[in-house]
Amino acid sequence: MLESRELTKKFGSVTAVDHVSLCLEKGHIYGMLGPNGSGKTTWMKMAAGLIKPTEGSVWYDGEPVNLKSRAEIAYASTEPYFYSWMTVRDAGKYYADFFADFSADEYNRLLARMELDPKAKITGLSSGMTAKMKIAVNLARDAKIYMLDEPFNGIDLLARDDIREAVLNVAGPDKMLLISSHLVEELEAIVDKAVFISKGKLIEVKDISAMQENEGLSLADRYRQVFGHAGQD
Amino acid sequence: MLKLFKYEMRKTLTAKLIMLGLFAVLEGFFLYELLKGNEESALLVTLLVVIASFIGMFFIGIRSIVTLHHDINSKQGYMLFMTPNSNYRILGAKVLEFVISVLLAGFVFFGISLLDCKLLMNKFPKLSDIQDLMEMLKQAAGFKISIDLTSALTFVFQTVLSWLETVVLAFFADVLATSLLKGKKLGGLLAFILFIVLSVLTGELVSRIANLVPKQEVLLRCAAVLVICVGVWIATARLMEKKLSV
Repeated sequence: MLESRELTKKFGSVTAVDHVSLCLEKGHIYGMLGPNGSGKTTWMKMAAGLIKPTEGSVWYDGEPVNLKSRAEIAYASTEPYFYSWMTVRDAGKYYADFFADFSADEYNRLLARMELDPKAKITGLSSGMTAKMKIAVNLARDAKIYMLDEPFNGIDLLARDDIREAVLNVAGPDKMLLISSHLVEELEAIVDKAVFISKGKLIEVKDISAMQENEGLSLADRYRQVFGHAGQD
Repeated sequence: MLKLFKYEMRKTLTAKLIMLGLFAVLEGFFLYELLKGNEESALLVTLLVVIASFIGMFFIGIRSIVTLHHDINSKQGYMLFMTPNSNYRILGAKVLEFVISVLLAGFVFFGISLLDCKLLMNKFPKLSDIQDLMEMLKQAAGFKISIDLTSALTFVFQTVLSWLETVVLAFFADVLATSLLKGKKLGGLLAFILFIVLSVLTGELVSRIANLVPKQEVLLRCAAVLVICVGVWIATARLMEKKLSV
């Protein structure tokens, strides 16, 4: 469904993503895990078509990412990206104007659930509220793929519950979700597969229930093994 | 593309409203001085209104360039480049926003300027002598004396086209600086030099084409500028498609 082939991105002398070949299938919720600067965000931005690869390519449904993939992939970046003049309602209208799969009703439902005021200016929202806003506007789409970059950053426990519930609501057999987060325990409750990435390289893709059954490891345990001191050479 | 155009207009709305507000203040001064019968001040403010009209048109172009620069250099650009619109459309909407805005501003600002001149001369008939003097100067310089609506519109059209050419060349240079030259030492300076070189070269090319058939100079000039604008638009959109990361 979404595949990167030898995907590489260099920023000057820094290689952010290094020949990553990865295939993500529908019907799964993937967690993308790795320390800061491991290349998660860069990989997602290339999949969203926002960053051009230095080498390699990203394919969606058998075609290189293009206008069709932009129409079917919902991407919530970790940084705030809404126009400064926008209110919460304006952002919904904007998405409705450009994305055929956007549901205004669902957006309003999510706003009410997350206690976001449609009349509020986005620049005036707290970081937690902005994070919820990004989730609401993207999950109000009936997209085929959702990529959420650090959706739990800077938000309280109750807001995290809201986001978790909203994420699980959109999941389905014909959808694929990819979520990056440093909050491993938070992710463990949502994802069924984990992509480990470090220093721009793909380490492994793990099926979480198989890992728990066969190796007796939780996602957090595996994270510590891969990225903790034990995982270092 | 209309939806993109709508948001391009919205992005520049605040700046345009501020510009309109300043123009309105200036116009208010003019009317105040006119009603007070203060000839010298009214004349001075009329001149300022005319100058402000030119600055206004210039400002609209600068604002369009700044908006593109912001879109390709800030996270807000995700709003634009995440949408299922090709770069040809995205850039086309920006060009359209500039053309419509500059035409509207031209009609409003210069319309008001002309009206002010008319009001001024009606109120102070002595000032008509200035007009006579200008006509004599124009005659001496070999200009056509009668300025009809067609030649006035042709002048406006040519001015807008020439400004459009500068703006699309600036778009190209900015995209080049943000894509191919990004991270390169003196990349911004190189793009600026390229912009100057391209402006000079295209200016020279347009002049040569315009001189091919003396009687059709204006038509050829406009056609050449239009073709250059379309060419630069395609080149810029293609560069965005292949190399631009936001």
